[in-house]
This record gives sequence, structure tokens and C-alpha cells, in this order.
Amino acid sequence: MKINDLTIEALEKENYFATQELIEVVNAAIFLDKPLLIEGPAGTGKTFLAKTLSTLLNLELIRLQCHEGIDEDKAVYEWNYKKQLLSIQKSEKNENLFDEKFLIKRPILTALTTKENSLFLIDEIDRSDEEFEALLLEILAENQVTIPEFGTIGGNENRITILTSNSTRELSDALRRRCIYFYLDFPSIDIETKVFMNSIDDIDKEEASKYASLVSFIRSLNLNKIPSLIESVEWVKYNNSKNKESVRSNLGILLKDKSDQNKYIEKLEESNEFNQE
Amino acid sequence: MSLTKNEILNFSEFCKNNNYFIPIDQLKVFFEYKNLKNLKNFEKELLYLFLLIPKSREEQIHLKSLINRFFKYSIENNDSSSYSLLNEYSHEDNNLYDIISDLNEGNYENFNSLVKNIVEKFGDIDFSRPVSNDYWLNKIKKSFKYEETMMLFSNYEFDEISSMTNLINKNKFNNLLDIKILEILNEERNKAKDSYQPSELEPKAQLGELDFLYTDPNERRVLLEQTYKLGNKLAIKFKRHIKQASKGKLHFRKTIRKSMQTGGIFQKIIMRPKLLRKPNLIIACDISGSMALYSLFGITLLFGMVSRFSSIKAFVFIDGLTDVTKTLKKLKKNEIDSVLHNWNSYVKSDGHSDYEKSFEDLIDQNKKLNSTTKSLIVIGDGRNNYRNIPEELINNLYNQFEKIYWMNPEKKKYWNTGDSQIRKFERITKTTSEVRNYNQLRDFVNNIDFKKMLK
Repeated sequence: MKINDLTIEALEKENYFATQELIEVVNAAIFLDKPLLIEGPAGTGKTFLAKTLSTLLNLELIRLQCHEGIDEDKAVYEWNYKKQLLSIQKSEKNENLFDEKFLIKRPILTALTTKENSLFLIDEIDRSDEEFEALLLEILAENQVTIPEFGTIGGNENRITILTSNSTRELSDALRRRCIYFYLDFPSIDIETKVFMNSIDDIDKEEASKYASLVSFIRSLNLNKIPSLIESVEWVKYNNSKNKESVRSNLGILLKDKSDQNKYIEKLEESNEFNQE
Repeated sequence: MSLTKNEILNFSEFCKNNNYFIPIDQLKVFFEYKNLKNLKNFEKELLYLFLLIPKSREEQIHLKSLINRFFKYSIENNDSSSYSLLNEYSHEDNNLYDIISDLNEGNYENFNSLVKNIVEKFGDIDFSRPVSNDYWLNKIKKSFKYEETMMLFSNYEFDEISSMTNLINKNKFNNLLDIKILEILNEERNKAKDSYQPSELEPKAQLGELDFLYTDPNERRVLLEQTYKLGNKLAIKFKRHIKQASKGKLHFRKTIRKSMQTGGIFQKIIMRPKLLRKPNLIIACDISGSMALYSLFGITLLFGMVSRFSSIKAFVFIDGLTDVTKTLKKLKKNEIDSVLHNWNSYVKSDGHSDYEKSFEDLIDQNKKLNSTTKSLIVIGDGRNNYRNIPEELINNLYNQFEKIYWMNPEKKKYWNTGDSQIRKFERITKTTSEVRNYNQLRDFVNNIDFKKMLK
């Protein structure tokens, strides 16, 4: 699929704030016509990137949410047994039961055969079983699916494929080899500042960057659950509209673990002591 | 300037020598992209080399450092290092506000003169003394002028968020100040005649090759996270496989589905395969004084394994054995070192490691539980404080456990010297490896080939 190179500005218009590196990788993946594997912690905007791209480039979004136990029936295709049975009873002639009209298309087959330009999102691939990865290899590399009763179905070329992973499990090398890889980390202070300014009303730049550096400092503490971008936005939104004195009481918006909260309060007291010296 | 094909091939060769193999098809992708996009810029090319070739986080970090070493060019994450200006800074009659706003705009003039001032106020530095720059930096840090500068950040009335921001600013400023002072010291040392030249330290090793003992807290955090993941991986290695053909319970849904094909007549019954995948494994870690920091990594590995499967038993020992499986399960990932803080509670008699007593306990435990566990992993240096280890114990251990894997954090050349009795254990173990850094640990985990088939 031939698409002009994306720019940071274009994505920012769609409220997505990215680094130059990410843009370069997305451009490369589109240009080379290879799937893009994005790995990173939860809540850094992996799925949102796919959604943004689909609206920006006007592509149809086909989404396959992976989960444990997902298999061929749910992901690729299934035969419509009821329809087949009815068809046998209705007609006396020997009808071909494995015809396209008895085929139920699941997301992967839909993505392969759709006529429109599309963006195929395979979300949280690490949740699926290892066997399922092997199933994807044919689609990712050869752009085709083989159905034993039917034959091989080749895909159209008008498609961008994006895979996301939370790295709860090591993905196989075979899968990695076929993709372009990018590790999407938590946003830098600059980007988080932009997000704050974009999504929160009446916050000025200084205030936003102050919060952003504070959040990045909190992330650098040894925490159990690192706050995601959405959580930090909510926290800042609340703090900015209400009075700032009660930071401790609304900590639950940002940190969702008791020991993490204690850790933060410890640091807070440390800084207070330092100021009173 | 542009990269030639030869340069890249040389680089690929260089990577191969440094344990990083670049597959040919990935290089092909890079060349394809380079030609199609007509890349001519050296920096852009390196950036794409970095973006297109690695396929995991670990590989990315590795390749980054290799590029840095080979091309002498560092791919930076352009993280913003700007300071947050607080209004309070401008209240007092000091120039902190100006200094920081200058720094934010990239204007280092004032800051440089400030640093020069600090160094000059400290007085003459005798570079002929056989000490390194770090020594002088520490001296300067104690000087009045330096402390006065850092005091600029205190004595303000802040609300809570601002006081945290102030602390962050202060730490950032402190780091910058130290770096700058070191730079000046280096310049001065080069100018001065008959100055002592401290021998160049060896270039810092790869994170994976860095001895656990010499890691700084940041590196340790990264490595401990990786170690935890390795623990998970190691646990899975010991899960028992089952033959696909063996029959289990009826798989109802699939059977009904299958019968649809034949018009609702059951022709084939599908069974759910029996899954007995829980591993049976005991892992014991020496946490005596001689193990130092290695025991922290050992316990992290234990934690990674225990949190994965409930059937893995974890023990720590000094001069007696303690079951920590339950303790570890209650802990969270960032509280692992609390086990070592409770060191005293694991001491049974005198606090010197005693392998004889510990392994006797282990054998007893295993017998008492009537357990069928036949695999054991030990993390320890085998130093028994000049106590004897009887042959009988070794034999008992061998009879009790079929497969023993031993990780020794001591350098191999010191094995069997002094009170180390690793030789005795080496006889009965399947593998005994030196594990001092992350790469060795990874190799140890990868090399374990445990496969147990159940009928």
C-alpha cells in the first residue's frame, strides 16, 4: 500500500503524541509492507496508535483480540454447520457443502479478503497460546490462509498489520523475525506535557511540565504497578480542578497499590524535611 | 557521509564476535529500505539500523551499545532534561531563577562560571598526588561554596507537589554540577605538568556481563527484573509434559461440534488431554555472608519461580534450612530484599554457613513430606567454614535427588581453594556452573534440558 510518510504533526492533529522514532518505524513498516510488532507496558498507547492510524489514513479497522484458548475457529474461519445441514435436507442434488457461502469469516479471513483499504490489529498477542502464533506465521509472511476443504485464499495487498504485546510471555523468534519491532515505553516528559495540555482544560505549560516531571519521577521509583498515561492524566485533571492541598487523599487515582502509596508518601516526607532544614 | 556495504558487513562481523548475530534476512530488509528510501545520511542510517534489526528489548539494548562501540556514535533517547521553574525561586535575593531559566534555554554561560567559581574557591588542587578525579570531586563536595550552592534549593515554603518538584530539580542540578566539575578537573589535570595519571579503568562491561557485585542501584533494578523473568522461564522448563495421545476427560463442546458434521450423530468422541503440568522442584539458596549480593539475585530467581507455580518449593539456608515458599508468595516484586533484611530469623545456631546441617534438613524435609520431587537446584558457593562434609551425606543426597543443578557465584579459579568443598558436590550434580552475571545466569537457564514425559 502506497502512503505518503506520516509526520508528527499529522498524528498530533488526531490527538496522538509520538516520538520521532515511532513515526520512523511506522513509516518503514508501511513502506516495506511488513507487519509492525509493538511491545511495551500496559497503558502506553499501543492500541490507540492503531486506532489513530485507521482514522488518519481512512482505513477500515479490523481487530482481533487475543485471549487464552483462542483457536482457528474463533480467529480464522468456521463452517456454518447448521446451514450445511439444512442445505442437505433441502436439496436432493449432491451439493458442494464446502462452498464459500457456508464459510463464516472470522477477523483474520475478513482482513485478508476485504476489498477496502484496511488496518488489521492483532491485540495482545502475548495472551494467546504459543500454538496460535504458529497459525499467524502463514498470514504474516505469505499473506495467505489455507483451508483444507477449500484451498488457499490469497490476501489483498491493501493492508497494514499491527501486533501489540504486553510482554507477559516471550514471543517466538519465528514471529519476531517476520515483523518490524518497536518497544513503546512510557512517554517522555515532553510528550506527557503535551498530552496534559491537550486533554486538560485551563492548564498552563509550566504547570503541565511540572506534573509531567513529577509523574516521570514517580515511575522511576521501584513500584509494583507503574501508573499508566491514562491514570496520570486523570490524576492531574482532578488535582488541577480541585485544591492541591489534598494530594495524599486522592493518591488512589494514580497509585493502585498500598505499598506503592507508602513509598510515595515516604519520598514526599523526605522532600519536606529537606525543605525545612 | 554515508555507510558503505563493507562497513555494515564489518559491523555485522563485529557483532558476531560480541555474541550478537544479525540474521541475513534482517540485513536484507535494512538494505532494501536504504535503497528504496535513498538514505544518504550517516546518522539516519544508523538510526534505521537500530530500529529495523533488533527484535526484542534485550537485543535493542545490546545493539545500541555495539553501535556505540563500533561507530563511536550514540543513539540518544532525546529525553527532555529541562527543569520546572517554580515561582518561589524568584522570591529570595538569589539568582537561582536566572540560572535555571538559562539552563532551560540551553544557555550554560552563567552555570559554567558558577562551577568555575566553586572549583577556584576550593583552592589549589595538587594533581601530582596519586588519586583520581573522583577523590577531588568528593573533597570539593564538602567545601563551603558547593554546599552553599546546593542550599539555594532549600528554605522555601512549598505545597506538596512543588516540594517534590524542587527535590527532582535539585537532584538533576546536583548531577549536572558533578559532571561539570569532573570535566573541569580533567582539563586541569591535562594542563598541569608532572600530574599523576590514574590508570584508565577498563571500559565498562556490557550490562549482561557485569558482575552482580559491582552493579549500581539502577543497573541492579534492570537486572533483577530480568532475573525475575528468567525465574518464570526456569519454572516452566520443569513442567512435566504429557503425551498428546493419552486419554483424559470428555471434551463436551468439541464432541458436539464434531457431531454436527454428521447431522447430530456421534461418530467420534473427543477427549480432553490430561494436563498434569505442574513442576515438582526444590530450589535452595545460600544466603550466608560469603554470598554477599549474589543471594539477592538468587532470591529474586526463587521468587520468579515460586510466583509461577505453587508446586515449587523454595528454601534458604545458612546453618539450617528454612522454607520461604509462603513468605515469598506474600511478597510483592519490589519487596524481595526484605527477605535479606530478616537475615537473623534464618540463623539457626552461629550464622556461618553449614552445608552439612542444611542438606540433612533438606533430606529430612523431603522424606517427611513423602515427596516425589527428584529435581533440585542449589545456589551456593560450597564454602563450609572448615567443617567437614561426610561422604554419607553426599550419597544420601544423590539417592534422594535424581537431578541436581548447582549455581556457584564464585569465580571458577577459586573453587576448591580454602574451605570450598564444591568438588564433593560436583561429583553428583548434573551441571555445576559459575554464575556471576546475567549472561551466565541466562545460559544456565537455557542449557537446562529437563524433559519429563508422563504416560
